[in-house]
Amino acid sequence: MVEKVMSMTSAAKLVKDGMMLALGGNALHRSPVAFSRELARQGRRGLAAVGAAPGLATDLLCAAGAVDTVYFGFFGFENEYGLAAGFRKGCQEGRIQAIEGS
Amino acid sequence: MHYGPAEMMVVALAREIREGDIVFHGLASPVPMTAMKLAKALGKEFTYVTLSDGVDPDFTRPAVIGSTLTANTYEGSVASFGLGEIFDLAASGRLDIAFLSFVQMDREGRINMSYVGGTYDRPKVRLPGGAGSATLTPVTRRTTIWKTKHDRTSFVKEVDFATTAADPAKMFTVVSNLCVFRLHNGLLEVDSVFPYTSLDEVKANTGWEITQDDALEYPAPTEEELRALERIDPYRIRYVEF
Repeated sequence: MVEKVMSMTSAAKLVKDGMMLALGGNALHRSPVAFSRELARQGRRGLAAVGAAPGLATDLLCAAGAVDTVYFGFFGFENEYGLAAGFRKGCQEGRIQAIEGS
Repeated sequence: MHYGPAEMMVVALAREIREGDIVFHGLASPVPMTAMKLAKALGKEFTYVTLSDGVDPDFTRPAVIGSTLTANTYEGSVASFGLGEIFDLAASGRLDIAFLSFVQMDREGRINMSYVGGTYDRPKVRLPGGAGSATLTPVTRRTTIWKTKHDRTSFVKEVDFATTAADPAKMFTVVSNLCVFRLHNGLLEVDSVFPYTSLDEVKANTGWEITQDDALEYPAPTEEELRALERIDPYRIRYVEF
């Protein structure tokens, strides 16, 4: 069997600049935040993110400037946690292209 | 028993469900979630599918945080039924209601969840998006909308963008904190006004001109409904939206 367990640093290196990335979870739940923090730390750029309801991990990449396109149905958090700030700011500043689907 | 807009809206949404319905709501929906639990507690027979994959979660287990994902909509479920399957069910015409909300709505039932101001590519405020609404509105049998803040920035003359729109051939209902609108001949009309407000207050808070002179008073929650509501929502998660 191929050994797949590796450090977070090595795992994040599998994602290259410009790739399309789908992170799991919904909004604030089951969001792989530590992985996306490591991607941001490594300075990844030009990623396209895709998800039905992308969560905190994707928003962190938006805030870090790692993402330039997002395919999504709903990108926000629930009620008292409000809109996804990194994504919203990126769209409003023209850095992120929002491709909204249903 | 005392009640306010939160209790009135939960009760009104619960009353929209009919025996035998299959109903769905997504994330960020504490008011519909509470209404589903209430309708179950009152003994209404219907099927409730959720974004957590849970079917008919145990309504006697109260929601503990302001989320409609998580255990709040899964614990005690009788089956697991995924989001893809829910959309297939809707596309095959068997989903009765998907509860939806909005940021802006106009008199013809166009809903904006995408952006306000500027352009699509360079918005003044980028909104979260309509989730499944553009897919579900055309295929669900009835559209039931809730909005906890009835004001002129929400009920507008013209939406900045139509994320989805009402199908004039189908039943389309909007429950706000002040009143119930229903679509007649392609236009929203005030069907009834909640007991603690007036048609004048509705008119003052609606961005399009309401020309009708009177509207029915919506029946207040009953003691039985309010008692059941306290039982199924003791931590008052319904207030998260107010």
